[in-house]
Amino acid sequence: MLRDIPTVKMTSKSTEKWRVPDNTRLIWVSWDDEFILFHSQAGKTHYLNQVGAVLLQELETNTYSVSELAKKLEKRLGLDISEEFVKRIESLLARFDHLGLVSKHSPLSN
Amino acid sequence: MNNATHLSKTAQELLLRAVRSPDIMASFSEREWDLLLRVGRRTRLLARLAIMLHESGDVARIPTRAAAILEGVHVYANKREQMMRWELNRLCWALRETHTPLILLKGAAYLMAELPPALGRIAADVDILIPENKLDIVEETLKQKGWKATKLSPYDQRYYRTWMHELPPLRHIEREIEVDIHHTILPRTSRLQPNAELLLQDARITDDPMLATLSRTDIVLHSAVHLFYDSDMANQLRDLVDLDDLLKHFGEDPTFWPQLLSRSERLGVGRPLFYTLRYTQRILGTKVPEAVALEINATTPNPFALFLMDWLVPRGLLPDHPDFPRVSTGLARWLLYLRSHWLRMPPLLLARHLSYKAVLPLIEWLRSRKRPGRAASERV
Amino acid sequence: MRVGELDLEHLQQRLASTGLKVSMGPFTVSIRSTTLSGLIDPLRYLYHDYVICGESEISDYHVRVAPPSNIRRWIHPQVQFLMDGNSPFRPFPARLAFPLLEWGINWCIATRAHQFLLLHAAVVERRGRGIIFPAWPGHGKTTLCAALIHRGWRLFSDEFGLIRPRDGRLIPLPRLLPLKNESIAVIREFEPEAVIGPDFTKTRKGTVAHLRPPTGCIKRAGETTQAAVIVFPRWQSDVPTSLEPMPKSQAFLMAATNAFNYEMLGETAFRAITELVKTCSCYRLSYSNLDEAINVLEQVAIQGNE
Repeated sequence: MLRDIPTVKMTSKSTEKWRVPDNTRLIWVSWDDEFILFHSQAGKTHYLNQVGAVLLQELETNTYSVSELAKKLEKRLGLDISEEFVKRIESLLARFDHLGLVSKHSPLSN
Repeated sequence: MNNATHLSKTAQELLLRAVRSPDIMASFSEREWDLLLRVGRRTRLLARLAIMLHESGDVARIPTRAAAILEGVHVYANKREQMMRWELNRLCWALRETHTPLILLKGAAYLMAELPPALGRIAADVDILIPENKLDIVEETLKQKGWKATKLSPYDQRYYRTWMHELPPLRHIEREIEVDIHHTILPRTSRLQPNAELLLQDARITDDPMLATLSRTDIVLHSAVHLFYDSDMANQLRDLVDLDDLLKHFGEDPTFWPQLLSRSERLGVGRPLFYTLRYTQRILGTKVPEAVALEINATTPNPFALFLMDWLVPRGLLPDHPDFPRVSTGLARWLLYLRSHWLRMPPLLLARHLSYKAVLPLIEWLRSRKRPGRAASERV
Repeated sequence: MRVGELDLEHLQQRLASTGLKVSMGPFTVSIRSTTLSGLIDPLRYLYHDYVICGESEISDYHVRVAPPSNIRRWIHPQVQFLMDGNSPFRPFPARLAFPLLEWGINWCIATRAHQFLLLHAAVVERRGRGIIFPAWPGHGKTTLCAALIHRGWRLFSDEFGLIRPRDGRLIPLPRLLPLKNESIAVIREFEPEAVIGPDFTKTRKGTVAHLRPPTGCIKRAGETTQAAVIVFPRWQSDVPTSLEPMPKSQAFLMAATNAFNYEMLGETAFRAITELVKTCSCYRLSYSNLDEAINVLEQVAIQGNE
């Protein structure tokens, strides 16, 4: 029974979808592989590397789960998906969530 | 009339003319503008005037330098509004799982309910009302999500928790706006004790299910209580303008006035409503239906108290000429400052509070004739 | 009329009554003061070329320097700075009345002039091209700026890079340059003709002396320009002079984080700095010798935009 609990959690987490909230206005400027972003509602400027920028740009156009995002990044940046990389995506998403750049979009609420 | 009195009267008259009929500003001379900009700033009304001029197009007809200064003020007001909106967005995000709708008070409510006083209103903080039994969960959740109690001495911390009607102010570590969470609208020790339950029951949900405002009568009554029973009124003309705006806005519907009267009775806040109607009429020319004016007279204070308030209130709310502050204004404000504490606390606690806290600021304040502890709202 | 054309008696009388209204770039500052000899002498000398505005004109800032009304005035004479009757900082010793006035006016601009984007930078103009030196504390922008304006460069400002958001133009604000500590001697030696006020010792930043910009810079305060180059200067003893291109993303971040009111202006500031960094050449300059640094900057000013 106890072993079931993490599995259940894992399932709910992997089906959890993310996106940039509808009314969000992001203004991008980039030089080489560095991105600067202005988030109008928050009035904050963020400096992003390529991984962060690509991830956020994907979520601006569509709703994705963590595994879907990992695949997108693999394709666009030619990276190998490792467990570590997925964890990095998750922590990036948590940070973006805190900043109000992305929000959870659970399939149930559709 | 001595020179200082004459200059202060001129300054007050100029400000009131601009506030009451904004169109008149297009005809002001450079000299008048120079003074209006100063007293408008002092009373936190400049951003409102700037936006009105912008919207009417009159900004093109006023002196260029005045327009440039107002542009700077407008930028500041826009920034404060954006900060307020974003803080509310983040509060909803943080508190969604606590299932506690946040009842917005004052500036935050005017903004989200799109009420007239929101125009150019620069609020130093976000004020929120929640049921008392939700205080702990809300405080804990916010602290987990990045909000921290602002730096307070242990005495202040205890003062807030024990005697005030709010948690010690919280601020998110990455942002600058303060969040004040109240469970009722006056301190526990205050002379008036409007029943917070009644306010909560009548609250209205906004477009966002996490956000609510008080009912329209309660919005007015809260604003009235706040100005006349929970502040020292110094340069607070802005708050009287809020009341004027609200009365004009809600008063268009004739059913509003009897509701306002009966609600004030139900909540036991007839006196602050009496002062509101008296001084909005006297200072801002607010139109109050005759029957309402007659009925509210039942709550008139005794003649001596009324005489005193008639002397004190305009001297508190209206600014002196910035270069020629008057001794009589200083005296009136000192009395209003004492009055505000007297109304908030029983005598023994008041004595303790004053001895710990107020004596020093009081002396400094008399010296500088400056209101203590509102630096943020005077920044513009 | 300029401050220098007013005799001492009239100057004192204005300061004591309606205020001395002085034009400083886009701002008019009304200065009032009680009779303080420590203030009036440097003010007369250093504000010599600044234009006095009409008495009924609108002032951006109403400031006053006066002794605080407390008991200490008899023991340690003090002065305080007041803006519209409010005093934003603690009193200073009375002998520092003039630096307090200068500092206070800067404070007014930094906290209120949000009609402009206020970069924290020195700005000069050469051959019609604006050059911005963002502040990098202790890296000597004031010294470099002081040297340049005595070699034919036009001073815009030593402290505030004023950008008008509507069109991105740089606006001159030729205020006095506060030279600190060793720079005072460096500039006296570099330019013996430089007009420098008295040394104020033991301020919070050590010894300060104010440099009056050349008359032409003050007279041309109404002429704006377009920014062309951003240079991050760094003075270090015994380094060879070197100028290297700087990555634009870094230039953006340094200009933005240094600005006084970047967050206040929000999107307007983001767009203005983006445009600035896109259109300007961005460099890092290391130097120890002022003449060499000026030669390198002359080359930069001649080159067109790449």
